[in-house]
Amino acid sequence: MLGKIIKHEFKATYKVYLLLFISLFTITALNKTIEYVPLDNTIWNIIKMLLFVAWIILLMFMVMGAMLLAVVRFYKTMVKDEGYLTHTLPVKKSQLIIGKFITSLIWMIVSFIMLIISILLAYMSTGFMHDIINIMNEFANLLSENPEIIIHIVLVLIMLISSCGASIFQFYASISLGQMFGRKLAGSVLFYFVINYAIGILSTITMFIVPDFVERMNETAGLSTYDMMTQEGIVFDELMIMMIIWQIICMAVCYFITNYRLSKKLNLE
Amino acid sequence: MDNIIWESENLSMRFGRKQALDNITLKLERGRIIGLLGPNGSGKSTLIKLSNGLLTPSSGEIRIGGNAIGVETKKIVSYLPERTYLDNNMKIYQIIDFFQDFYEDFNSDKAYNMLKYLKINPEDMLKTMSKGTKEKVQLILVMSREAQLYMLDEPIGGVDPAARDYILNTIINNYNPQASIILSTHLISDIEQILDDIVFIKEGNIVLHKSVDQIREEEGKSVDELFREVFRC
Repeated sequence: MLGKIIKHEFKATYKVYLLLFISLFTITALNKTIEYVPLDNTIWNIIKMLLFVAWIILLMFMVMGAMLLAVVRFYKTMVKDEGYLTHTLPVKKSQLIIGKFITSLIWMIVSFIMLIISILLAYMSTGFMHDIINIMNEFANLLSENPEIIIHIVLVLIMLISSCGASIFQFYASISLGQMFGRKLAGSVLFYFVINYAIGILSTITMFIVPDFVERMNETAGLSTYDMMTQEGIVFDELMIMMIIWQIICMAVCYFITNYRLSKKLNLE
Repeated sequence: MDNIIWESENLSMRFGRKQALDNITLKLERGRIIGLLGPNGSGKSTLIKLSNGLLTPSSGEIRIGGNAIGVETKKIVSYLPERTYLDNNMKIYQIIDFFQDFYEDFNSDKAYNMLKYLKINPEDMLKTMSKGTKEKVQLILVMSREAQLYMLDEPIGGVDPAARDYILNTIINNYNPQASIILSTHLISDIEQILDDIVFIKEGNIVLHKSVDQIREEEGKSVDELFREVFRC
């Protein structure tokens, strides 16, 4: 059942993302090609600048748009009219929630990859490719000397993904809690801030509870990221792992809130 | 198999200060077409939504086929809400695929036949259709399931008389005779001829539950006449 839900989620959402990606690469291509036009008047320069701005805006959309689309999709299909279809399917609420979550997370990761590709394409030139190859060689050398850097990078990636995941579930929980009010959208927004605030306070408290955390953080003050990763590698890993665990806890709590509210307290208008 | 398909015990629903349903205890039999009749705001939709898990009761419970409302009841209940609840951006055949995927008892051949009869093109997107056509599509999807209980909330509410006839004929011709249909409406005279049983609901209370035959024998009236009497303003 979960597989079916995910399949249909992708079917229902792919068009918007496709449009987003096509727009992104069109603007990227436009930005690239106008470089070769040998005009240098004011109007042309304004056009070039506008195209550049358009590109930057689309890049921001990649980041924020995927999250926005995920939230809107959940809202539309779980607490608006389409909810009449969603909630009468013979599937468990947990499967619905997790199915939508996995689809949204995958879209966010894909969007991020598209963003990277777009940036690389935008700056690609023979000189740049040369630089890239040099950097990759240097990086390979660095890796052979300090293989633990792989772990650092993997942890950073996991941390980014779990951070996205926690954000998505935060929205889900806010939406499902917001339903208890008459003005449901306003309620959802309110609960979003409440949850955000609660997470902020709890993470600050946790930082002081975890032994030596504050001291260790002071030790690393003034070190560059590179130093942190190579010298004080252990602290960096621990920090990443703690953040990942924290995100997972947030995800779990928000998931249980969402599941409880939509299973036991559903009141669709 | 137990003869009762739907039953409630002390079912109440409260929205803020409004008591939408007040201590409803009711049993409905299999194989019957049941009219849930009452004026606007009497609690018909609330009762149907509760039966489909879209609302959580303030107290009491509903059991369908012996089960509490959940995945097992949703497998055997086919529900037609009184609104457009499908994704407007989907094509009809995609919606049929969707239903086929999630409902084991969905008969897509039936659905395609009914669409063909109405000359509705399955390649069309839902959003290109008129409201009346959308409602017919939704009805076709619901009646294409071989369910044990059909719950139709105001199925003939906003449509013209010809469409009403089509809808009523579709309902009679396409449902599984071992199944029950619960039809909620305030348009009595149109559906009276297809009903076996009726339930009158007034301000959240059940005021009558009889078979149509009983009413004609005991009261000597049509259901429509009795309705006007009971719900006189």
